[in-house]
Amino acid sequence: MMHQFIEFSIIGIASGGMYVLSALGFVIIFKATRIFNFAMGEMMMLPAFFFLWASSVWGLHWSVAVLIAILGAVAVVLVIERLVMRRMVGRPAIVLVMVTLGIGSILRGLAGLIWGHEIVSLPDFLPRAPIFLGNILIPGKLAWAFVAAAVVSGGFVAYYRLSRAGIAIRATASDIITAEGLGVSVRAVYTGAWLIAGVLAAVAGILAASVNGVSPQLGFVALNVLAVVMLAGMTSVTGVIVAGVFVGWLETIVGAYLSASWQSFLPYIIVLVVMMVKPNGLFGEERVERI
Amino acid sequence: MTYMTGTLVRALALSLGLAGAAAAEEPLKFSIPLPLSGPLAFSGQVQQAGWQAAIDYINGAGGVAGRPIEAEFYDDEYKVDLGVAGFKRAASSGDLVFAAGDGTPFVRAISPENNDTYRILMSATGFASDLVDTERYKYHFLPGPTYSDMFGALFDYMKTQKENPTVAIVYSATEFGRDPLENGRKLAEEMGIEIVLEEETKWSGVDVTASAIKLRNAAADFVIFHGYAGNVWPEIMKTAKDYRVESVFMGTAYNSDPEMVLGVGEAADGYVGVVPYDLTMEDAEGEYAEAIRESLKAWDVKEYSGYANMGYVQSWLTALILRDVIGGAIEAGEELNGDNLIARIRGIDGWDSKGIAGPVSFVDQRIPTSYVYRFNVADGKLTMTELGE
Amino acid sequence: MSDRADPIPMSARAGGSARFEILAAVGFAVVAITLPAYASVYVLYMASLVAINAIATVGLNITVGYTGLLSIGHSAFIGVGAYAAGLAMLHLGTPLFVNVVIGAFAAFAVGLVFGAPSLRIKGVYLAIATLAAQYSLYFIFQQWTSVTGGDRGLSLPATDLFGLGDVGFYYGVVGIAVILSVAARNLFRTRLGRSFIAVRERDYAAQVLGINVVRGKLLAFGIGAAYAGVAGALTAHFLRLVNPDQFTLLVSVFFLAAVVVGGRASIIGSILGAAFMTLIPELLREILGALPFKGQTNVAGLLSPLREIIFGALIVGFLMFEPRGLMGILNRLRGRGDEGGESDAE
Repeated sequence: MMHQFIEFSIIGIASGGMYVLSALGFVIIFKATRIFNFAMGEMMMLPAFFFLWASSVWGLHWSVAVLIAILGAVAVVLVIERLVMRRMVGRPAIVLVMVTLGIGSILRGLAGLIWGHEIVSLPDFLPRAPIFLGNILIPGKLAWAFVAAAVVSGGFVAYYRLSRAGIAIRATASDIITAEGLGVSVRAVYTGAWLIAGVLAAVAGILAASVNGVSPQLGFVALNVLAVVMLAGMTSVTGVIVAGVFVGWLETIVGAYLSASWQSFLPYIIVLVVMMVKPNGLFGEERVERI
Repeated sequence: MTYMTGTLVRALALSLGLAGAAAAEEPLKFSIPLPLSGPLAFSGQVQQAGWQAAIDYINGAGGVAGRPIEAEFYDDEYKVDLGVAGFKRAASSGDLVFAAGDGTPFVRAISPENNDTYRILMSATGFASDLVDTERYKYHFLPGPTYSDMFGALFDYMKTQKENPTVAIVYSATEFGRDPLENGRKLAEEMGIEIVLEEETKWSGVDVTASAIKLRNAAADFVIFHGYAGNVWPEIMKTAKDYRVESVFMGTAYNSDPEMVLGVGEAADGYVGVVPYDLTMEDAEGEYAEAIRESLKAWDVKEYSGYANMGYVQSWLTALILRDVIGGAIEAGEELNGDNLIARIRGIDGWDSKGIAGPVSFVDQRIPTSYVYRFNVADGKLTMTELGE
Repeated sequence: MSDRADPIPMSARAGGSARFEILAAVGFAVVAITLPAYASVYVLYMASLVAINAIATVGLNITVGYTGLLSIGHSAFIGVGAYAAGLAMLHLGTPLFVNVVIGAFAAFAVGLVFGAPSLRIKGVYLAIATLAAQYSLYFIFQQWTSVTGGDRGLSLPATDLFGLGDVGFYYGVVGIAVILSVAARNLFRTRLGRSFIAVRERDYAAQVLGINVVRGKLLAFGIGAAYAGVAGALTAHFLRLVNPDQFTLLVSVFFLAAVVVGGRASIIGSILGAAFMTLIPELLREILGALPFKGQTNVAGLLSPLREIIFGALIVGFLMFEPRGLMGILNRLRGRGDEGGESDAE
C-alpha cells in the first residue's frame, strides 16, 4: 500500500515538473506586463509542432530540432509582441484577456490548417529505459522530462535572480515609474519577458508532447496550469515551483485513487477554492488597489 | 445576403429540375457528415475517400438501377449540433434518400426526430451497443458489429487460449469508452472470465504512468483497450512493457487500424485486434474486395500498404449494400422512404459481400460478425494473422 | 490602468436619430414577420439560431460590456438554462414559455453564485474564476448522469408552437428576442442599469456616491446569466437535445467575440455581433464550396481551422482597431463620429 503510494507520488512529482515550466512562463509575463496570457497553451503547442517537423520531416537530430523549435517559438512571440501586444498597452484587463484568447484561437487554427488535427506522437528522444530508485520504477521518459524541466527552470530562476535583465524585470514589476526613471527600458523588459516566456513554453510544450503526443489542442493542457498559477499567486516565482510540483502530485494521486473524470476536474476545484479563500494565492503579494 | 440568394436559387433550380426530369437519371441524394477536422480527422478523411471511391465505382457501373448517387459531404467536427444542423439542412430539400452519420452521439440525437418527422434511412460509423434497439433506432442500420459484439469476439479468443482467463479493461472516460462495459461484465461472468481491473483514463493529454503501474499490479492474462483512437493506448502499452507487464494486449475496432498499429512500432508485436471486416487486401478474393484494392492502389493521398483502413471499407460496404437495397426498391416500384428501405435491410440474409466480410446477414439491424487478427510488427513491417471470426 | 483609453458609449443615443431608429425598427419588423413566407427551412433555421444567439449575446454584454465584469463562462449559463428547460419538458411536460422562465431563473440563481467571486477579485482573477466555474458546470453536466444523462445528454420531444411547427418556433424566438432586447435597453435607463455602468467605470467612486456595488455586481452576473438561460432553454427546444459538449469554453469565447465584434455596451451591437458570428461560418462554407477545388475532399476539412483563425482575427482586429465594434462603424457611417464617449443623453 505504502509502496504504491510512494510510487504514485514520485510519478506525480515528476509530472509536476512540466507544470512548473509553463507556470513560470505565465508568471514572467504577468509580472512584467500585467497581462495574463491565455495564448500560453498555443505558445507551447507550436514549438512542439516545429520540433516534429524538424525531426520527422527533415530528419534532424533531436537536439538540433529542439533548437529550431525554440527559435521558431521566439520568432512567433516576437511577431505577437510587436504586432499586437505592444499596441494594447494600457488597455483594460478585459481587452487584454480577450486579445490573448483571440491570438490563441488564431494560432490553433493555423496549426490545424498546416498540420491537421490528429494527435501525432513525437519521435522518441528521451531514453525509455526505466530508472530504479530502490525498488521503485520510474519510466525513463518521465524521469528525463523532469530532469530537463528542472534544469531549464533552474536556469531561468538563476537568470531571473542574478542577471541584469532579471533585475530589470523585477524592478519593472514592482514599480514601473521608478524603474523607468532609473533608466530601465520598459519596452525592452516587455519584449524580454515575452521572449523568456516563449522559450519556457517551447521547452514545456516539447516535453509535454513527448509524453502525450502533439495536436492543435495541446494548448488546452495549459489551462490546467492555471490552477498552479492561481495557487501560487500570479507573481511569485518560488511559489510557482512549489505549486507546480504539488498540483502535479495531486493530479496523479487523484487519478490513481479516484477516477479520470475527477482528475480532469481537479485543477478547477483548486482554482475555485483558492478564489474563495485566498485570492492572491499562497505566495502572491497583496495587490494594492489604487483608486 | 449572398447565402440566402444562393439557397433560393438552388431551391428554385431543384424544383425546376424535379418537375422537368423524368425519373430515369435523377440523382439519388446522400448526405454524409464526417469529422474532417478535429482529433478524429484522420478517420473522417479516410471514410470520405472510401465513399468517394465507392460512389465513383457504383456510378461507373450504371449507378443504382440506372440512377447516379450524388453525395454531399460536410465537416461536422464530430460535434452533434453541427451534425444535426447539417442533417436538417439536407433533409429540408425533401428528396434525401440516405443520411450517413459519423458517430453514435449523432445518431442518438437525430433519431427521435427522424423517427417521427423525416423518416430517412441512416447509417453511422459508431458501433454502440444500444443500436440493437430497433424501436429507438428505427431507420438506422449498422454495417458491422457493436462494441459488445467485439468484446464477445475477444472473449471467445481468450477462451481458446486459456480455460479461465483474467482480463484488465482499459477504457476512456467517455460515452464511447464506457459503452460495452455493462454487457462486457455480464458476458465475462457467463463465460467464466474474471475482470481483474477496470481502468478509466482521460481520453487525451494524460500521463499514463499510473495506469501502467496498475496494469503491472493487476497482472492480468489479457488487457483490452477500448474507447481510443490513436493515442493514449500505445503509450500505456509501451510503458506497461517497460514495467515488464506480460499480458497479451488487445483492442477493439477503433484502436485496431493496421496503419495505426504499425505506427506504434515494435511494442505492438503480438497485439490482437478485432475489426468488422477483412482488412487484408493483398490476397483478397471477390469482386468487391478487388475493387477496393484497386481503388486503394489508385488513391494518391496514401500509399497502398496491403491493408485497408476500417472506415474506408465501411464506406464501401455501406454504399454497396445501399445499391442493392435502393436498387431493389426502385425496381419494385416502391417509394424510397425509410420504412421501405429499412424493411429491405432487415431482410438481408446471406448477402454476398464478395470478399469484404463473407456472407452478410443483419440481425437487429446490424451485422454481428467480426474478424480477430494478431498483428506481427518487426523491422517496420506489419503482417496480420487471422484468428478466426 | 486608464479606462479612458478605451472609450465605450455609456448609454444609447437618442435625439435626432429617433427617425432613423424608427425606420430601421419598422424595416426590421417587416422583414422578420414576412420571412417565413418566402424563405426556405434552412433560412428560417439560421434566423432562429441568430435570434437565440442574440439573446445570449445581449446577456453577456450586460455583464461584460456595461458592467465591465469579465466572464469567460457564459456558455455554462446557457447550459444551465438548457438542462433546466429540458428536465422540465421531460418531467413536467411544460410548454415553451414556461420552460424559458424556468431556464432563466435557474441560470439567474447560478449566475448569482458565480457572481460571488467578483466581489473580492477583479479583472483577470475574475476571468479565471469564471473559467473555473465554467469547467465545474461542465463537470456536473457530464457526471451527474442520473439527472443530466451524462455524455449522452437529454433527448427531447418536439415543440409545436402556435401549431405552426418550425415557423411557429421562429416567431416565438424572434418575439422573445425583441422583448428581451427592449428590456435590456430600458434597463440602462433605470437606476439599476446606470449603477452597472458606474461599477464599470469607477467602482470606488460609485461606492462613495452611495451605489450598492455589491448588489450591482451580483445582479449584473445574474441578469446576464438569466438571458443566457433563456437562450439555453430555447436551444433545448430548438435542437431537441441537450448535451455537455454544446457548452464548452470555445462556445464562451464565441459569445465574447460576438460582444466585441458587435460593440460592447450596445444592445443593437449585441444583435449585430450575434448575427455576424453565426453567419460567418455559413458564409465561409458557401465560399469554400464554390471554389474550384478538385472534389470536396480536402476543402471541407479546412472549414474548422479557418473558422478558428477568423474568430481569433476578428477578436484581435476589432479590439485593436475598432474597439467599439460594428456599432462603432455604424455610428461613424451615420456621421456621428466619436460621440457616445461619456455623453449621457436621454
